[in-house]
Amino acid sequence: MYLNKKDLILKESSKYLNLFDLGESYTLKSVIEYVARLDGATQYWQLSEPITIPSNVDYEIGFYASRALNDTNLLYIFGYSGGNNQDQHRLALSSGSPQMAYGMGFASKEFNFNGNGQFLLTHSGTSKVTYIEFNTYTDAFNDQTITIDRLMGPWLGVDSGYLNGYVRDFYVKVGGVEVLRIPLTNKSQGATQLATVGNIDATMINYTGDEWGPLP
Amino acid sequence: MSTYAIIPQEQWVDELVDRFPDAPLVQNYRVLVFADAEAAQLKDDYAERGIVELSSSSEIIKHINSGLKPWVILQVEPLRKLMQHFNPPLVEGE
Repeated sequence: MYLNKKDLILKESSKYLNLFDLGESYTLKSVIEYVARLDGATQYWQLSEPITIPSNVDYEIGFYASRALNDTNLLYIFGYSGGNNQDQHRLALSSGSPQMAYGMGFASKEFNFNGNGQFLLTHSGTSKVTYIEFNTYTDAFNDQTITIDRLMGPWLGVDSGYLNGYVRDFYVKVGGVEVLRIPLTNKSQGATQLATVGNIDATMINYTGDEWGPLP
Repeated sequence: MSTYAIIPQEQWVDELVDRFPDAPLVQNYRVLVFADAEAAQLKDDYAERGIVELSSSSEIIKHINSGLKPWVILQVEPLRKLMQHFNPPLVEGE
């Protein structure tokens, strides 16, 4: 869209920006950020292959998440669909309590996951713990090797634990180097969202195309 | 928003497993997920199966427990209750 500069005044961050001062002419692009909201009943993101992080390396896992329903059921943000319940690695959220589970031992603490925000899991040094942060919440969990191949979905073949809402901008850093980033925000890519870093993609199971909406 | 259909397992195996390969299993039924825009066409295509639209999760649970054959068209809220009824969430804790 080509516009006359005299016509443009944009409101940005509660102050007015007069584009007349920015140059002779310019192209105004409409940038709408989308996010896919999953139904919490049948849909989840399946990675094209698992990503495994050994416990003896520094790592960081980050993503934004939103939970639309504040029900009391156990919901999974990420996990591994293979193996058995002895070696599942999962970040689960129940009625106000996160449960960062490794093997058969895990810790939990009162935790309010309403609305949305960024989750950050970090593991560094020799402390052998993983710190999890979400808004004002922070806690530490004993850790082992992490394997992730599923976001927002059930595990162990049990059709429960679907997260109603979204996960976006999922990334993994190992040794300070970003090895995987999947934005999960590219509406034009449809069901299979391509990684912008790394070679692991995410496919939405039971995708219809109705899931996309503007990012708030 | 999406629309959902609950259909007998045998019909899914015979006719729709390729189109809906990941349809969740609920008792002897499968849950199909489709776009709202597809709902009318789907009902036309499979009208001979018998289709009922139910909004009450208790009615749908009764339908499933009775082993009835007509397809059930439903929305996401009763579906969640249905899924939780037949697939109770796991309990984890220390």
